[in-house]
Amino acid sequence: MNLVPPSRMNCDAFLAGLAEYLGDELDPAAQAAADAHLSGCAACRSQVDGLVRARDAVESMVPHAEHAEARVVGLAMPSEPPRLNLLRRVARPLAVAAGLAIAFGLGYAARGPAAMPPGQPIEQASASLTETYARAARSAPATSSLTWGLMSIANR
Amino acid sequence: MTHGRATTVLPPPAPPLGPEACFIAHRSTVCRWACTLGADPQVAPDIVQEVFLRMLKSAPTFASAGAQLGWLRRVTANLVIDHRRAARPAMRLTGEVPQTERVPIGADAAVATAAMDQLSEMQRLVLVAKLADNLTFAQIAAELGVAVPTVKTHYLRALGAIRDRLGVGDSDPGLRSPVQRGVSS
Repeated sequence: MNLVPPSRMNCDAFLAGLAEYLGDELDPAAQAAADAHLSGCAACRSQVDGLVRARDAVESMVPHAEHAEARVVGLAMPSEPPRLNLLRRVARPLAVAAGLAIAFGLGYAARGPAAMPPGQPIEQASASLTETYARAARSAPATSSLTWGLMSIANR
Repeated sequence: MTHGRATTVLPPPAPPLGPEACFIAHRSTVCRWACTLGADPQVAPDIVQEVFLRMLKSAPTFASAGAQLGWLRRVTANLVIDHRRAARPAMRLTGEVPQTERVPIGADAAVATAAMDQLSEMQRLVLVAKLADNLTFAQIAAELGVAVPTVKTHYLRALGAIRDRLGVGDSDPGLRSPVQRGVSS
């Protein structure tokens, strides 16, 4: 930005280019004109000194970043945390339900004569199964609903 | 038939980078922004990770590499302030500066860091673009999509707010008004 020559520069002209002055965007001639004005104007100098100090305070943080930058170079690209989509959210309970159904079906099949040891009376086998399921229910209460289903079959 | 007016063909803007390439290209820059905005160098790498994680999660689309850089700068500025605000209640309760804040910085820099919280988002963006990246006012204006005088106004007001926190300089309204008159917002 070209400012007016130092001999004619007043405070308004200087302050109109203050942003460029503080941002180091003045061309050499304008910079010289601004410096000349500042050397003879205490009011503008007081104004500028505070802003320069503020700018320098922020700029002093930039080299401060070098230590952190060295550490950042070794960083790996962060990976996105896995998100369960709708299919997966539905598939999980479905798989559990299918597992239960299969276990229930197996229990039902075990009730048949073919699953019993040869020569064992059906009442004895049923009592043995009931006892087994009851033990399982006590040791694993979480599966009690499955055990309940199996026991109800065994008790038929 | 030819017209006397010469037409200038501007080169097309650079395309945005993919997330991984963007991370490799800009992780140091993001870290520098974070520190300039007052993040502790101990915390800055976490902020860098968080910025790019946010990019992965939200998967924003950018028209150009410049727009992508602008997005990164904006998210970084917001995250730094969030981190600083989150750390503040701990300082109030315990009466001491948290471990991550114990970094030897100058007294003026400490005041400037505290003053950052009071600045508007645009003021912070302009400040970091100007002082950390050494962009010109015109470049900042193009990136932020605002007029050059607006950028100058934000720059001067940001510095003025920090100066006021430092308690130095002449804040005579008679001298302030030409500053604001010279650069319209």
